[in-house]
Amino acid sequence: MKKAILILMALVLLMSLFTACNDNGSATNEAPTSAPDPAVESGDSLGEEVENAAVAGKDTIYIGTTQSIGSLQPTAGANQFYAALGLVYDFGIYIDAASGEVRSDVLENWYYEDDTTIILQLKDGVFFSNGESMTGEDVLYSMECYVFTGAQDAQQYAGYDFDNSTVSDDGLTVTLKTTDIWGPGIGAATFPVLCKSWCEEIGWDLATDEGQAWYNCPVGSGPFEVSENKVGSTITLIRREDYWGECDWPEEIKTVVFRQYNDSAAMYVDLESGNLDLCFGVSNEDMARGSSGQSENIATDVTTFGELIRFTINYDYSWMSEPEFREAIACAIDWANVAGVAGGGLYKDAATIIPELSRFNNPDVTGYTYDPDHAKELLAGLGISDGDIQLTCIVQDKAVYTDAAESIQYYLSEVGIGMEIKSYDRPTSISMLKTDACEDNYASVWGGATFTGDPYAWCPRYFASTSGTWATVIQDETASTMWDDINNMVESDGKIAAYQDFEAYLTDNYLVFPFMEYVTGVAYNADLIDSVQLTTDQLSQNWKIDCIDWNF
Amino acid sequence: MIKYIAKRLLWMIPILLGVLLIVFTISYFTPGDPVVSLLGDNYTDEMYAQKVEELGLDKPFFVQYIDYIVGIVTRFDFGISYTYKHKVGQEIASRIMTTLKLGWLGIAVGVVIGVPSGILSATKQYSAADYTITVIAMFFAAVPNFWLGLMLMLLFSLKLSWFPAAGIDTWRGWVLPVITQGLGGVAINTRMSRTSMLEVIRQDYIRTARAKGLSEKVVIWKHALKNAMIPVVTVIGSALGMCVGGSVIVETIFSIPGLGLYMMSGINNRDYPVINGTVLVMSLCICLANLLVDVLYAYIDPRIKAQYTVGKSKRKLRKLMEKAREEEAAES
Repeated sequence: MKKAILILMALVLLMSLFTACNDNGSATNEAPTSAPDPAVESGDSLGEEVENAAVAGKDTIYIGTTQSIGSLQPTAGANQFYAALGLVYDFGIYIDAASGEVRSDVLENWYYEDDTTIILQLKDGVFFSNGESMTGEDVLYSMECYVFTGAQDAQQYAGYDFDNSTVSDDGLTVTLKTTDIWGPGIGAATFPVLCKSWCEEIGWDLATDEGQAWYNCPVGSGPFEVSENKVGSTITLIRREDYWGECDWPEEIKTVVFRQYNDSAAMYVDLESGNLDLCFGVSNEDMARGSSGQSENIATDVTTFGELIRFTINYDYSWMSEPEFREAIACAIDWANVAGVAGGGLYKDAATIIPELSRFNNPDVTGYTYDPDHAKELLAGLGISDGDIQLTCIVQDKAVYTDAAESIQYYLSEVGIGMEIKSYDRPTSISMLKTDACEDNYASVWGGATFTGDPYAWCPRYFASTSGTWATVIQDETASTMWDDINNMVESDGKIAAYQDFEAYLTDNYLVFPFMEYVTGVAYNADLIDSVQLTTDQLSQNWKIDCIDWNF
Repeated sequence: MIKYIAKRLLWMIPILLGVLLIVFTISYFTPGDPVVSLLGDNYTDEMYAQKVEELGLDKPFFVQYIDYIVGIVTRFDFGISYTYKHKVGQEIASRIMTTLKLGWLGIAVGVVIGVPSGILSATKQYSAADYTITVIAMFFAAVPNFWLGLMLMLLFSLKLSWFPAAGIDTWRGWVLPVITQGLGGVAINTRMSRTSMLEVIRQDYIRTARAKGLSEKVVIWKHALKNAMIPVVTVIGSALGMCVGGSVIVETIFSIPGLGLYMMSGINNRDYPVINGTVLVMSLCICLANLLVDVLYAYIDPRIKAQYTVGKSKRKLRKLMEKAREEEAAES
């Protein structure tokens, strides 16, 4: 018997040994590059590795993220690891984080030739990591990919008329046509530029399959290239010695390792213990810890990346057609306090549906004044007594939404409006908010990405004909007309001013209740970095982590 | 024995089909539209209809179910993930080793520490060692592993900086998840071994063995341990099956890209192919683990082995006896 038990134990140990010795990454996709992988080469002590590197000269940066590490195919949606895209690809257009201005990595110039024609002039000498030169064909192809892959928010590109767009003989000038006057705007042309010939070479099926090569060895023209991608775990980028342009990252940094964390607390622990140099998606609690100096050598920043959150009531609800009722809602709630409760240290106040960073934002719109007595008077004037109104608030089960909903519930109860909160996971909550599936008395706390480019591309969701969920919809004839007019206007004719009037109209008529921009928290090793900001594309999805003040 | 194993393997087919039908039905009737989840809030009716057709969700329920089974049986195709657009079968294959590794190492920790501790505790009943082991075992049995994981992280990652808080790039990355996964098993194995051993060492045959003058070592290791191990093997066997599905929490805390995490992302995104594929593989693992436990029983306990091997002879004998009885009855 002793023998049998010993055999059993030995079997268990052998299996353990076998699995322990087995290469851990069947999930690993080895990049077909001969470049060394310092993260792997440097042995098994991550802590030592970072510490030694800090002393001897830092050549590897470890970045923690709560995003899923997956494909580097820019239109892949949920599986797209957008934090690294800005290092692997150059962007056609992006929005400067500090000024909100339009910038480009690869374009020399961009302008409207006429109302429906945009000219994009490429810089000469831009080439991809496979040696191919970048041409206007690549630029057009990259934009078309968003439409053909059916990527989320692909609608914004639908206003470009690709059939009639052309590329000059030298390949450096793109004449981009739009179907409407102004169209999606230049700002919407924000995309990582893909190498068309490479995409065709790998047989990328735009409609169904994103292809394994997008994980292992995507070809971009950016300053880094993928060395190793352990899906769901880490991705290692190495610096391209032959990069065509100037990289903002210090020359000493040869390798960047992104590590995925499902728990932001664990990520912050690794930052504090020196296993990370920088991390994105820091929680409220850890931000407070970092900014209060409780963590040694850790500093924090908030970035512009995030979502604009607003309270919304179904416009089909009979009372919503009464301006006094909408005003009562606006006055009944202390919006700044709601934002503070829900956002902790990770928010900016928002008064309009166009984010502060956008150049179309109206800074004069200051939001609603908290005046519960006035709200009560307005409700009494409409003949509404305590308990007459009972709303049902559908929210996603994310703390920021549920906290905001609870706070709003409190303020509404103070003026005699009842609100029941029902919290569901994302698919369920979105399904319940579908236009054809909701009840009249539904309300919601709803967040959408803080789009920074031209509102043309993303405002359609605010109008019933192009939005799948009522929670985003604004039902007002004047607003719709104003919207159509702005779309048929070029910038020189006062497009910015028209957008600002539109925002003022919505606020003056209490048609929307935006209250906060929920932003992304960043924490970093203060010995290495002075400050961090993210630059994003129009969708605020694809990051360019190049606004870092390094301490080298 | 081979016939028995073959029979059990065949039984797995209806079990797995049943599991799949239940999962399919639950997914189908669960609120939350995968298409809306994919499209977000900015889509037209045409885009919605196109996506529904693309994903095959416009087909009737049973057609979807049969298509899925046919795909698995004929092409070993678990479908394409709605969210990630990759082949679910490939992704499961790439992640399952990570989960199995975590599970195996956790079980190894549980067995290597738990079983000897339980035996020691039983043989030294009411001693200081017994009390200490019992208290520690009770503690780890009572503590949920998500809390334990966080505490280990706090101590060994934050305070001591010995191990990273997440990631499995190096052997150091495995230490905390394996301990978190294994300590619960240590507690269960310790308690089970102790109880079982205490029961066995009070049996008459153990008293007889001692009366014969055998040393305590021989009594425990040769005579008691074998019988005491049967319930322990059951527990380890269950752990084997559960290690695939049971590592979800540990994988989440320590950001380990395994099957559990994949299943969670599938559930959160209403990604039916991912949910169906992962649940099917987990069910298969549990069925196989149960079979393995039954086979191990036969190996450890001769009485059970006899049931399989002598069963046929017994049946023959019973038939002969019945025949004889019938003849007797006919004669009388």
